[in-house]
Amino acid sequence: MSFIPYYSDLVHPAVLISSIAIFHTFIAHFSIGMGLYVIICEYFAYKKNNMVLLEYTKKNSSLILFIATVLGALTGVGIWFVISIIAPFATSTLIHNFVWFWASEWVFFVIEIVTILLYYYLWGKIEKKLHLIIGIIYFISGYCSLILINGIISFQLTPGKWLETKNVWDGFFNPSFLPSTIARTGFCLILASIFSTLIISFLKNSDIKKYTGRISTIFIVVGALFCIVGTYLWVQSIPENVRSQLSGGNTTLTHFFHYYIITGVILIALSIILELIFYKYFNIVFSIILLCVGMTAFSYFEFTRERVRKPFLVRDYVYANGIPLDKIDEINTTGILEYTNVILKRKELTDVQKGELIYTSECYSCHSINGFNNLRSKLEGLKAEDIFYVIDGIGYNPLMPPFVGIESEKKYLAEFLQDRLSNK
Amino acid sequence: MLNTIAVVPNYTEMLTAPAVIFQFLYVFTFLLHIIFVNLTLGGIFSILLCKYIYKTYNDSVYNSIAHDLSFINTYNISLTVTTAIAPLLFIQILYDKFFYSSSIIIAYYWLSIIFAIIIAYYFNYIYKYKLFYLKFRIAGGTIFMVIVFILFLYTTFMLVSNTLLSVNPEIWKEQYKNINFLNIPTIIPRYLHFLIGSIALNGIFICIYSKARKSLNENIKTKMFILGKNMFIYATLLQFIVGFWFLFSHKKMIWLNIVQGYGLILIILTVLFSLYIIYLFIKNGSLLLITIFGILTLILMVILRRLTEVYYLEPYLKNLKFVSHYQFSALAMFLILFIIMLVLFAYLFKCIHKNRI
Ligand code: HEC
Repeated sequence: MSFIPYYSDLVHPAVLISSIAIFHTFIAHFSIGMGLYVIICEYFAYKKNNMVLLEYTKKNSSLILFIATVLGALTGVGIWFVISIIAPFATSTLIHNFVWFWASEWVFFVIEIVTILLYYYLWGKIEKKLHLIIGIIYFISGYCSLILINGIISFQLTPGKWLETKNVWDGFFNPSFLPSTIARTGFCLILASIFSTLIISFLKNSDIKKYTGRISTIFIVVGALFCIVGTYLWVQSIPENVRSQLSGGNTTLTHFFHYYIITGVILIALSIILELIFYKYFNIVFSIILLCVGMTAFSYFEFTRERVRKPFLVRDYVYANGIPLDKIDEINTTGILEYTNVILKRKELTDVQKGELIYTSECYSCHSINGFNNLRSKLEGLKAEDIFYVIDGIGYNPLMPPFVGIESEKKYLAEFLQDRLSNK
Repeated sequence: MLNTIAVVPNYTEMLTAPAVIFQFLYVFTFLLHIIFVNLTLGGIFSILLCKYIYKTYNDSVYNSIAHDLSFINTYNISLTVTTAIAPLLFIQILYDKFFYSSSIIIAYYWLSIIFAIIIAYYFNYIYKYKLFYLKFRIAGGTIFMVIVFILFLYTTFMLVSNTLLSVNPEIWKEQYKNINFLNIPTIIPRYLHFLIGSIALNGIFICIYSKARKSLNENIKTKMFILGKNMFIYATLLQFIVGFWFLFSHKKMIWLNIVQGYGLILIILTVLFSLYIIYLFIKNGSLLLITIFGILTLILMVILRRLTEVYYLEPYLKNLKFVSHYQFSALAMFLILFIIMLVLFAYLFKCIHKNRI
């Protein structure tokens, strides 16, 4: 018996989770990269005794405080809330297995928040060296939380030896762990650079615009190198059959991956040109353009990563619709309706209502009837008998889990789909 | 009964350490969290109270107090959010089957608290730094804090509802069909009990703050202290009524369990400690003692809360299935990092104290 199925007419769960997750990770990567950015600027400001640069650094640190500790922290909690609602079983697995990694991540999170508060409010109130040290601790703890979370996220894609050993360290240091850490380090640097242009665009003095533009360019270039190496290694680290989906096997996925690369290249080229050559004219419009292109590139990467994992939430362990692989035999004999947590008494349901329930527990996590990845475009006009055969075969699509349950349930589902698709 | 038990999922879960460790960490980190929750919520209440006194009696000292309190309130919000993560994590280890289920039932309301907190946080910043048009209005912006207060009242109400719903699986069925928060057992007295507790605890905090801040002038300090003292005393007197209302609003089986077991001792001690604090306040006794007994009272209440939770879940707990798969090396990593954090903070604060310019 599993959880109560979650259903909403308002937003599809896949849309809900991807929007909040992309927004959050965008900010999270920025806040780590910016940590490095401000300590480097602060260091040079002291060394060259440059008060303007110091003022610039302080403004950048305010971006961390007002964006990362509010929007960043809370959308992070938001992701947690959302996944526990739309994929409770998989979330439960991730939480139980990695509890000490989450708990350690919490420790770094506390250090991060406390040090960024101290760093910001103690500008000019304590000795320079100590202030810089607090900044360094902020950056290190932020980076450590990235490493921890990335271990868990990459585990979902490539659980590796964990599937046999169930040893948590095998799961954490999985095949795509290192490549994605490298790529994400690159994202941090790139995002710090483009966020810093928010402050650069308001600088009046053109010397300082030039100088800070250069620092930001260095961040972009180094970040790009990390990204290229990381993405290349990441593609190598995923299983062979999945990789082929990425390079032509599945059209949508291949497009996502290509758009990620194209928008990424545009972002890097554009930032270098603007920050290095047109620094004098740099204004908020440029900055917003960079942020938008950055957000787009970043979204395509996260889309790719999400879709490459299909049809699983944890590869070879639990499907995206929350059905664990080791329960399939059981469900195929007793039925999905037996497994699904139904609060209404099952006997009271009509066949179509039963079908709806099956749809909610097996298909809804990836499809909707009319909106997101809708079934209307795929099945409209078909009779229940034809839909029955389509359902029979969905397991052959590499992005979809097979239908699980007994024969009569396939019929209920087909009847429900025909019923729903025949009336608008 | 069978029909309702069936809605609690029954798959087997992995336990990576002995359950008592999780129980301890859950209760301990929840205690840390609830302190900051109380300070935040009580803090906003006291800011509004000061604004009210300022407007009615035209005493500008209260306006300064309000501003001063709004300054620390953003720190309290930060710490509330940071300390929330840990109990949220550990409750999922023990009771995710209950907690996720109730979150699914009130999904939108539950998710909306994220937005409520974000907006409240920013509004508090706007008020604190007098941003936008507030720059020109020294005493203005109360409306921002009123909204912050409403948003946090909403947030805490949802938290209380979700917690209560999670321990009452027998009402999931009706709530899943049609949510009605007021039908959740004990919700009103429990929520009031929590709000009044926040005001009392914040009263003690304001007293400490008035003594600790050296930069404040004497007049502000005295009035601040009196404010905190009165907040504690009146809230606690009210709490004696609401607390017992809450106790007897539980099902008979539950309150009998409480008063026939350790619960009774906890309740008696709480009443005695609270009376002692009031006595200390009236006699101008030691603030240190007040603080210690204040925290002790809070600890007693957190334990009582935990005890009640267990009584509620008892019929379901025996159906939970766990398999042990201990990860002591990963546990050690967490403990070591936790200790490093404590040492680091102690060291940093010492350095900051020495290196101020
Ligand atoms: C893991 C997510 C996932 C789940 C769960 C899922 N699908 Fe799909 N489905 C997809 C994706 C992604 C596509 C698009 C595939 C592509 O781009 O080739 C798709 C395509 C389809 C198609 C058209 C293409 C085809 O292969 O026939 C049908 C019909 C379909 N799904 C039906 C279903 C039904 C019925 C269910 C529930 C029993 C279901 N799907 C569950 C992800 C999912």
